[in-house]
Amino acid sequence: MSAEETFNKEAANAIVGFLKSNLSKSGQLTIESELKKDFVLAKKRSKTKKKKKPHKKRVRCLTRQEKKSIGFYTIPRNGVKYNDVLPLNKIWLKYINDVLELDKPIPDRTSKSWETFTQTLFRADFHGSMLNVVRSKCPSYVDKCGICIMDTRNTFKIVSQDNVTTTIPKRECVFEIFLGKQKITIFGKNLCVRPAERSTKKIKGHIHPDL
Amino acid sequence: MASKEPEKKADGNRVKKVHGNDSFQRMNYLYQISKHIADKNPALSAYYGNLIVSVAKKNVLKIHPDIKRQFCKKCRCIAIHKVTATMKVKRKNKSKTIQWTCDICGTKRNFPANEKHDHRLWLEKPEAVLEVIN
Repeated sequence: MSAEETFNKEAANAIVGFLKSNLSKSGQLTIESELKKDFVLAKKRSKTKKKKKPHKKRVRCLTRQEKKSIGFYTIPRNGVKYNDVLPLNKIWLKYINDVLELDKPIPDRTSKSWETFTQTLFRADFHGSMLNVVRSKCPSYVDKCGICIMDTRNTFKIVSQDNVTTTIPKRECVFEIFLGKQKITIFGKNLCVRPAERSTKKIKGHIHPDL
Repeated sequence: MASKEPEKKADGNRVKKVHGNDSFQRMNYLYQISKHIADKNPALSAYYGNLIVSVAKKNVLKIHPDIKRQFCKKCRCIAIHKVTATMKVKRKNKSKTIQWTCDICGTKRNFPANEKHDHRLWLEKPEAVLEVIN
């Protein structure tokens, strides 16, 4: 303690000496009083401390990692039974009947309503539809048939009759969709959009397929 | 089951159409399959629930509160009592609340259910209906 005090005194003396040597004569008289001055607001603090509001925890969506740990992304190869998803197909048929108005005849290619027909088909949902791969660049995908349970940007996940879940890339395949009595052939290349975004996007009426 | 149609003023002879009808139909369908598959595969149910919310967001549509409240806030899995969620009636400060606990992520959600108060939503009141479109 004593060493510190002497050090402080030495420092104070040095400062006073420095000021005396450098200030003008009128300033030198008031050095002592100036140095002892108090600032009005320097030491005072408001007594009432600000109370912090208890931060309410917001319910957030699951992060990707949490979803992964629960198992949202990995559907095991034998995880989904065909009989479990069969009712989805029944509901889907009713739904697609409502949307496309299949009780009326399908409009001709040259007619005006062809545009709206393709638009609604493009905007419809494909979860639960019966898909059949007609053509593909990879021969092992050909003739895979099943009910679609997941629809991502570039793939379909289908459950076939022997309870096996397979992932099929859209871009290289040509699909056949069964709408009760009718069949529709769709080039998977045109479906390469996220399922949620598809409902806002527009598609051309006539798209020329690749050779 | 269907999501409520929003009222839209149509003029004169034009055929009245609900704005975003095909998206509402799609959401309705997704809700149905989400409910169907909940007991067999909750992960898929949550995936469909997620899709409903994202379709509604993309098309700037409102989900009817009755349907919105059936989905877990966090994992968007549909809540069915004793299947994917558990329901309890709780008492807090002399007022009753219904508490839903999601079995998948464990999120709790409270809804007021007091006999003395009128907890009806605005959409359930008769003055909320402007126009009915078929």
